[in-house]
Amino acid sequence: MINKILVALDRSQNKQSIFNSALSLAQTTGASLMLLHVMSKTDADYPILPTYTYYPMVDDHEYDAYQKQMAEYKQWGLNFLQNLTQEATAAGVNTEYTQLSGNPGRMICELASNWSADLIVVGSRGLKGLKEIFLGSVSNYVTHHAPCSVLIMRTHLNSESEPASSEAGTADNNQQELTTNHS
Amino acid sequence: MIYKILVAVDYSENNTSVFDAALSLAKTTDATLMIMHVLAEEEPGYPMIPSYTYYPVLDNYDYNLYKKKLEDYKQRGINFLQERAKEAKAAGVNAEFTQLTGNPGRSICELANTWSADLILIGSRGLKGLKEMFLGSVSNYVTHHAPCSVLIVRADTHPDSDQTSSEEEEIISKS
Repeated sequence: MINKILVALDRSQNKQSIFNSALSLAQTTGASLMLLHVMSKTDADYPILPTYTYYPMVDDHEYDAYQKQMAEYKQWGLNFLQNLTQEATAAGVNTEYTQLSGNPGRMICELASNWSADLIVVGSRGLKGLKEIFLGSVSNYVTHHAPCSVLIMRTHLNSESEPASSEAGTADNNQQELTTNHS
Repeated sequence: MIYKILVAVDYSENNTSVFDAALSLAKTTDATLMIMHVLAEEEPGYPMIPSYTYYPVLDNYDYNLYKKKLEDYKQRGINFLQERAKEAKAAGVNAEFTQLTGNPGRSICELANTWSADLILIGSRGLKGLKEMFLGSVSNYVTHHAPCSVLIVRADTHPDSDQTSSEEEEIISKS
């Protein structure tokens, strides 16, 4: 039924729980995973070219610093994706990763149609009302423009997240046991 | 992990793929399935009180007819759900069903809350732009108001879905 799952991850705190549930879903359905991180200017950690004057003057030193920050930012994303890919491969799931830059919603939908994904897993930042209008909801864009099914993960409040994650951990263990039994 | 899946079904044609997806997901994750259908006034086939004049005059005959039609409509919904529940049980999935009346989006979110669902499965009518604004998108309402994760099933890949559904039928007949 579901053969290819695209997981869109960002730098927020709930990325791990999104990844965990996508992984357990891939394990149970035997699907292959594609991990995606989109570098976007709306990201809180995205480096900004420093300009101190009203005129856009950039000196060499600042530009070098910017480039270094940018490289670090890219490298962080790649390391992050590589770690998760290793984790997923260790759990016996066929996994690839991609890092793209641009508008998150648009890139997710584009990759989903290029890679012909069956399911997109995205988190929800849970923005409501005016915040959603101004900051823009990635999950909303994806649900309206995706070529395939979309799973919106809603992580519970922080107080509840700890027991839930430990439950997820035990469930993952159970599943690993199950998979070993099968094989 | 997913323990409780709420699947919202209606009579539309591409909705069978929503139910199929829910069934296969529930089978693979060993989750309990709650099949729900909402009797909404916006749905085609919902009986209307017949009134022929400008004034809301209602005679007994018309009212009885309306009541009978509504009863039939409800019964049809329950039969539909029972069939689905049977299908799920045949596939070895623990399934319940509920029929509610009211605004579909709101009823779905309410039931997800009270039943403490882990996942809501819902189809997309695929309305875009103005149509979505005027007719209202149930899936959009649910994604914005749901207390849990939401899976929106879009049935675009027809050749694939046909194959998988036939495979599933084989599995069902085997068990």
